[in-house]
Amino acid sequence: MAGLATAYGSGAATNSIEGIRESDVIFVLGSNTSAQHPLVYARITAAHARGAKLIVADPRITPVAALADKHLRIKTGTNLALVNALMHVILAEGLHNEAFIAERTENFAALQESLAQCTPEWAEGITGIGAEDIRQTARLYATGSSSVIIYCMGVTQHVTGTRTCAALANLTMLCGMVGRPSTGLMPLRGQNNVQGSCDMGALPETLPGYVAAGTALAEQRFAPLWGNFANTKGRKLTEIMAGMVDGSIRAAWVMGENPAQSDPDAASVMEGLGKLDFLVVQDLFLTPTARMAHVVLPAASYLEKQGTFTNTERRVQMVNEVLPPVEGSRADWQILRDAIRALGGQADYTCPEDIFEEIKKVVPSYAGMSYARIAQAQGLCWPCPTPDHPGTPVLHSTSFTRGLGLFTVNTFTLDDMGEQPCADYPYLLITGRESHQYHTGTMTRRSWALDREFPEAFLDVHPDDALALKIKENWMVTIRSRRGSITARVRISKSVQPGTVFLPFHYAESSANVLTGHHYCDPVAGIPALKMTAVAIEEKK
Amino acid sequence: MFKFRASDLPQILSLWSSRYAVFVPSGTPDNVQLRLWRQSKQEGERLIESDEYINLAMSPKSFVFSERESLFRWESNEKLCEAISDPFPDASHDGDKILFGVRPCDCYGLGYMDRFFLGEHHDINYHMRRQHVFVVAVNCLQAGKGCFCHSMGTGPFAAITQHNAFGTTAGKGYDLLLTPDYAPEHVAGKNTENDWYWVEAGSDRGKALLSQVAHMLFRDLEFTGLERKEALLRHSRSTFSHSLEAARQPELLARMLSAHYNDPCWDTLAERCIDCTGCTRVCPTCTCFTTEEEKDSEHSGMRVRVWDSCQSRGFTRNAGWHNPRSKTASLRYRIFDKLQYIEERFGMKGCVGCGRCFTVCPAAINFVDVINDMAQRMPVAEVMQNVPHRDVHYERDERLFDPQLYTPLVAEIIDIHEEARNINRYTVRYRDRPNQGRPALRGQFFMLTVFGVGEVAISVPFSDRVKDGFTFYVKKAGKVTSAMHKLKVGDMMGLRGPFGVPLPYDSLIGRDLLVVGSGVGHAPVRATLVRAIENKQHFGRIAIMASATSYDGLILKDDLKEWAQIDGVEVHYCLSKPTDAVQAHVGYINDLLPGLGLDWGKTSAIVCASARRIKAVARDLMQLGMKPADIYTALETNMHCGVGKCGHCKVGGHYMCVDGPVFTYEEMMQLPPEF
Repeated sequence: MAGLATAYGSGAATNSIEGIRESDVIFVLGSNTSAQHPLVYARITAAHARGAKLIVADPRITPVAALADKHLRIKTGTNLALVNALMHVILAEGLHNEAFIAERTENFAALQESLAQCTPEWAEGITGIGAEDIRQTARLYATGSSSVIIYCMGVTQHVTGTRTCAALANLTMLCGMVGRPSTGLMPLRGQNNVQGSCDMGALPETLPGYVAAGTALAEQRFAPLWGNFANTKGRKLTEIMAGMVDGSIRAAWVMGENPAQSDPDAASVMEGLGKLDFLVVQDLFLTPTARMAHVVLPAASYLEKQGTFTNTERRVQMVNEVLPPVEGSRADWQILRDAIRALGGQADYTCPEDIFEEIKKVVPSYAGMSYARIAQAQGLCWPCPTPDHPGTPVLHSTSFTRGLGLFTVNTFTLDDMGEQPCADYPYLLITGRESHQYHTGTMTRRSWALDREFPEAFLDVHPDDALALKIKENWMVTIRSRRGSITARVRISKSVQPGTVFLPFHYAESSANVLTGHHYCDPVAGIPALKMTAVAIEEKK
Repeated sequence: MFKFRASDLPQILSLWSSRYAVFVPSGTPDNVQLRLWRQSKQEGERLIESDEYINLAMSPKSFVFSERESLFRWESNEKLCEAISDPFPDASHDGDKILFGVRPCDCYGLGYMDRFFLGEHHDINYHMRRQHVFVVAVNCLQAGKGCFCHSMGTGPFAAITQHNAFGTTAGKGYDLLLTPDYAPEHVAGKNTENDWYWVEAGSDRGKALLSQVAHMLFRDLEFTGLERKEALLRHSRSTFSHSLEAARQPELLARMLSAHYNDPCWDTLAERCIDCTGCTRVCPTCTCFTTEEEKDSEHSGMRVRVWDSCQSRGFTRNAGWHNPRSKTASLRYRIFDKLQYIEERFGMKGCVGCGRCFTVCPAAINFVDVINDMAQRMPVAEVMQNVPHRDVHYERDERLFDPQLYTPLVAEIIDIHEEARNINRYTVRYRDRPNQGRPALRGQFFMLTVFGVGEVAISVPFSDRVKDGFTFYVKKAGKVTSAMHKLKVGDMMGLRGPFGVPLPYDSLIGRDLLVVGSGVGHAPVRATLVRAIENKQHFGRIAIMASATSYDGLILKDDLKEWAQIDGVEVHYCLSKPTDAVQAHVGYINDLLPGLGLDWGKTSAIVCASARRIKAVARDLMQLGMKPADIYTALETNMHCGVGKCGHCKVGGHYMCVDGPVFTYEEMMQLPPEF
């Protein structure tokens, strides 16, 4: 998000999901779209069936990669080198959009200079992708009439995450592939309402509507509503976890998260949670994290409450209560309202719509929406500043949110690779998800139909590695990293490259995040490099 | 033939709605659902009055085959345990329903479901729902984007000559058939005086529906109806953009599919598939289900059945994580089933040409394109000359209407004996009725229920004349068998069966007999073996090969010792680990076969082991001179319902639970290699 916000002035997806159907070139990076965003995948397959070219950069063969016209089996952690080399080719072959660069952007010279050395041959050595493939990809992308880039955690969960996002923004602006339908840059959100919670300021450095914390603007906008409030920056998630361990954080309120399983280096997370003086967990189910809490607040599910979700394409959609909440549980807004009141704050909301009306006052991009409008239009994409505004499926069409688009310099060095395999831990572990389980499985594992498909953790191992390790399909293996060890079942698969293994993180009993660490993080966003962990594997005795 | 004015339709629906719950196509043209019709018109319902929809988004199968329904309830306390058959517990039955506006393709689908559920092993739950559903079909004047029913012969007009002896209600899948006949000046959404519907009754129930609205009907006095219909059909046929020409010749299609069984295209498609199972949910002929146990408490609960899909990975996977169908095989299976297996077995089309499966597919997997591409690659002449036609014969097991079809009888455990490591022998007795009161014990396996946990198929090891108590050998492997191992003498379990074709006896008489069993493999042969040994004088030599990893893992240890004493019966042990208990060969069964010196031309063999071992043993036996038709096997696949309904054990066109599990090796090799 930080990368895009710098370049465009807004960190959100620039285009609509439906628009992908009409794209001519679709470039997917670090996204198992087929398993994690099947509705986006459906648009990709529709476009592909129509004749659109599909390029996928992924170390694994996922269904979307299998479908691709060009599958770039990139070495894990080297996305930035690839993107810079693509831009190098585009500049060298004169495929860039000069008019767009001149009218809509700034700082082009610095970018141009920074890319001089990023030849496809240089990138081939780093990424493992042939120089010719890089050239062809660059040509395809640059010469398409509408090319779209789709990316996900395979880009962001690396040391170079923020820089790669910024480089991708550079790529779109270089070719003028932004601001028009069916083009742009689509970061796919991992949850139904990640975009909405970011919009509402659930970020360490911003308040609702992306107003920077600690500024006069923040004071001016929110003080009239809230009175005195903590107008300061917060900590990033990885810093919070470290703070629990070092004692600088002594109480926590966790809502709808399961850090005991979802955050890297589970042992230290557990240590941190264990040290807290006071832990409140608000969730649908008694998750591993909730089991550690002093107070558990049972929350209602999406079917049992009213409100809005804002999805990956900035579409604000109605959620309606179709079932009464399970006895003893309450909607999140009710829990929060009462907590605010109990703490002496003001929260005079009688229904979710009251809260939405307040959002409209302080978040200009929501100002023109209302429950009635959202329901009638089946969702509205922000910005929607006035009641007669139709919403904005395509961002930045005449100017960028920040005015001119900013080209940034994003240098790749070999130090950025994160944890590398070594003699003791010879395999590189990629963590990810399976289509039938969601996140830490606290919900999907309660559904027999979903859980039956993937009832336990498995480790994808290349046949060559399996041979060397003397392990066979369905055997149990022990996986060790510098942080800890777990067991999982082996699935022999050519979807991973030799030397690389894949493990989903849905399973509490084989928690992948026991193995991962946060020693390597993105320096800007603080996101840990979850896609790269060095591990050793052996048959479980 | 009759006709009525299109403008009278609301009045007709209104009349019907006083006696039936009338469901009509509602919603928006791209998402048409069957919803309850009401007098006060609601938004979207306009769709039906002007025939403005192409087809329903979902097939109407859920009206007759519920997505989720209870099969039986059970209750227990310390002394009692009861299983109560209850096919209508969820009170969803709210009287007779009329489904108005169902398209011909879906009528065919209903016709097929009637054949499937109401044929052999008559399904009581389906029956109960089906008898309350009346179908008023409307022929299509306009094909949709994915439609190809004209190639399948299932549309765009419903057939009026198709007969189906099995339907208790609408043999054709409809009770009334309407054909819209709009005047040239017809405007969508507005009916003129000259817009008509032609009406034909498809059943007596349909005639009854007509009599209720007789005053609005006009007789076809000029006898122009059939002529008009013919013209409308010609027009309708011209509106298709998709076709599957190969389907017009089922034999050709079957041969072409056989020739492409190992085509790389299945792998390519499987790589893109994301196992969402959307294709099977929307399919009008998909009937597979699984069962789940829902507990109210420790002492009561019910077994529910829920739609299942052969496209999910868990569908064929068994307790030991072995999955006989790879992802490629699953994907191919669905397409072969729809285009070949169903038609071979039931004589009806397995695909109705609605195109829903590829319209909803997020991976854009379109089997019509795949088959058309295949047909292009392999011209008709080549297929007919070079690909042999597989003539499949199915024995039909006609059983009486059995209200206990899915409800187990309660039986009490009267003895538990630890037979081998993780293998127990259970002796059970029906609690309410003596064993001899049951119909003939002809079958190869029973379905054993641990109440509240689930059900498994267990072979019959006792002879058909057993008087008191059945015995079962159960190896601890999955959820249900593990739970069974926790039961004690005096506890109750549920029994359904026996099911399946048993091992032969009469055809073995007068021959040498070789019995090969590996692990628990002796359990299914025991019944035949006991009988043969009792009548030893009718047989030549009887050789028994007992194989296991270790002696400890072998069942029937006492039986084997006893049999070895009988003149003309020999027992050979083949173990991976040596033992002191008996004299055993350390190695494979195959090592011992040549040395047996049986009269191979006059020998029958029964081989019970894993599919891989069966093949290895059979190959050697044939080299020794045996005919594949004299080698019998029992293929234990993932059987759930036991009566050819749930679909889990289907291999090719065969339901292993009703056509098998006993097959000769010759028959086994004709099955697709997916068991």
